[in-house]
Amino acid sequence: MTLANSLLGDAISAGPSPRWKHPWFTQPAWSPTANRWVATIVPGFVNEQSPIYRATVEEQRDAGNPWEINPLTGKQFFSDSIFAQPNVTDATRTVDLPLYLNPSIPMDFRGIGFDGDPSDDVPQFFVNLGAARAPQQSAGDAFNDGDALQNGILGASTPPPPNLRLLRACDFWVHQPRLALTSEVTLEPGIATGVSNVTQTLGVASPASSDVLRVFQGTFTPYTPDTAGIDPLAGDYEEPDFDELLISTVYLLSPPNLPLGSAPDATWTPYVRHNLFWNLQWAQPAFRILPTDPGLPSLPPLAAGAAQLVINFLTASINDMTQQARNILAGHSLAGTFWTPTGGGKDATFAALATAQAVKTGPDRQKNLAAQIAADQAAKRAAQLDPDFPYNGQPFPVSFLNPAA
Amino acid sequence: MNTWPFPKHEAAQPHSRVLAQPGVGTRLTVNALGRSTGRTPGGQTFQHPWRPALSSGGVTFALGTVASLAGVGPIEPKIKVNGQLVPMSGKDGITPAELALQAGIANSDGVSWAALEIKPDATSGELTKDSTAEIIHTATVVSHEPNVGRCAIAMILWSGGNPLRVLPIVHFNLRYVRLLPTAGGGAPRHLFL
Repeated sequence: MTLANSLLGDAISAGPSPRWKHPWFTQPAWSPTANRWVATIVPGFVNEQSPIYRATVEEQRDAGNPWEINPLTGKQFFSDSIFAQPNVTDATRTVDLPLYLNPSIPMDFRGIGFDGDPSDDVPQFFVNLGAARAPQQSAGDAFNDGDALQNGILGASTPPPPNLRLLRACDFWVHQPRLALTSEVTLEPGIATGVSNVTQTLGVASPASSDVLRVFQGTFTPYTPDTAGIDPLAGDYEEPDFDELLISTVYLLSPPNLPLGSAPDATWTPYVRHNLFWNLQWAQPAFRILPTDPGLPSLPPLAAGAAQLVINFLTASINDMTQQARNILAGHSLAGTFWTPTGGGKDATFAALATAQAVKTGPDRQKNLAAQIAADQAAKRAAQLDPDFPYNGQPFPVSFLNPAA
Repeated sequence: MNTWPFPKHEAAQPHSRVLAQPGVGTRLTVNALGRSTGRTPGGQTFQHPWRPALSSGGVTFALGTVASLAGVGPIEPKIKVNGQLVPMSGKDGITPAELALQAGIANSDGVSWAALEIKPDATSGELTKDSTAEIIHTATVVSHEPNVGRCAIAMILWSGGNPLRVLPIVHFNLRYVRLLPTAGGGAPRHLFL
């Protein structure tokens, strides 16, 4: 920061942060107006869109953002007559704020470490700074009971180490709605043949129209598309109608010797672990028919915009039926994938698309230009990112290139 | 001390639309004409392919290339300037060509895109020396032509009929692949890796 004196008066200027803020860069801050921790996220993109954060007008006003007016259009959000909702008050009226408008996102923290959930791992980094992992609990110990924390039962049973620092965490993740696979299985015993006749009907369910590409905060629970844990014969099955990816985790580290269960305030120190560094592409596989054996698939006419696939198969064993149905679910899953467009690579190195040449200055103008371009590309490939940082990208799913596999 | 992956954050005031944040380009000027507070939009960046920059009447880009998996080498896209297609790095390779922006293209949210439009060889799906690779200004990056793929390069934010800010979407050179539909029909898919 510099202070300059001139004939016209004093000028104070602060230069921009020298550090490049990558997409999805998360910046926590204490909001004295909202009396809580909030965060802003540098806008990242999924395909061509930047996610929104859905908030109420009242919540954003408390956080210091009078979001009644869209700064781009100069008009009220949803001021068009088709959005007219005369009975809705500011307390409940929601606005979809794109990340490029820098909305302040209030954070809800979970406790980890000594007074937190023992199943939530504490990074060694924070243990080195004074946090402690949760002590081993015995059977019947009211460890996760919030009342127990408030009443000091935990503290009485397990004395905290000296100069203990408490730890809290809050995740941000991007939520991409998508089509979901549904399955319905009917089981009919075969009278004449003595074997069971199983009919599995696959369908495609659409997400709710109000569900859009957005950012959530809280505790992220990744979904693993593992169909091994379900019994498709026991009832209808429906995939999640969204894909999600962790953006970052904000940690708050307390001053030493605070009472267990304390709520974070301005005296706590924020740290951020990022998981995303680049903009993303997203796609989901096309709905297609996999050959089944035994049995013949058939594709009935589309109804109401939803594809339906009926697969009949005969089998003598209930275990075979279950596994067959699981295989069909796994093979037809519509789970999408995120990737970082890095020219075919999957890290932050620039793709080798051209052979570097020396810049020419001969009479052939076209060759000179081609050489200049190649040299520029080589320089970019060799350029060091600022700062030196492991900005890894999401790998491209090669399965897209061979959909029949 | 290397604190990766937990960089300690600078103390920052909460986001405010009235007072700019310190440390991210705040400028407070007090002189005979009065007081003014301003800030630069965002932090610094680096010279990456496709890096956009707003100019007086349009957007220019740092040189970026696209190639298909088995096509010819990298292709430098072109930009239409005064009705004529010129390489994005300019006719002389030094002064970048400017993509003209029309305010009428922006949608009702005050947003438009600069997009790379690709027309591969219709048979092979690869990019050849005759393939089209052009940067266009559009309100939608979804192509309804089966053999045309689009990839958003930058988002342009508008206010009052003027371009306010441009946000980069792509930071690397691109590889393109066209996937033909399998069973059940449908349109080809255009992916940028």
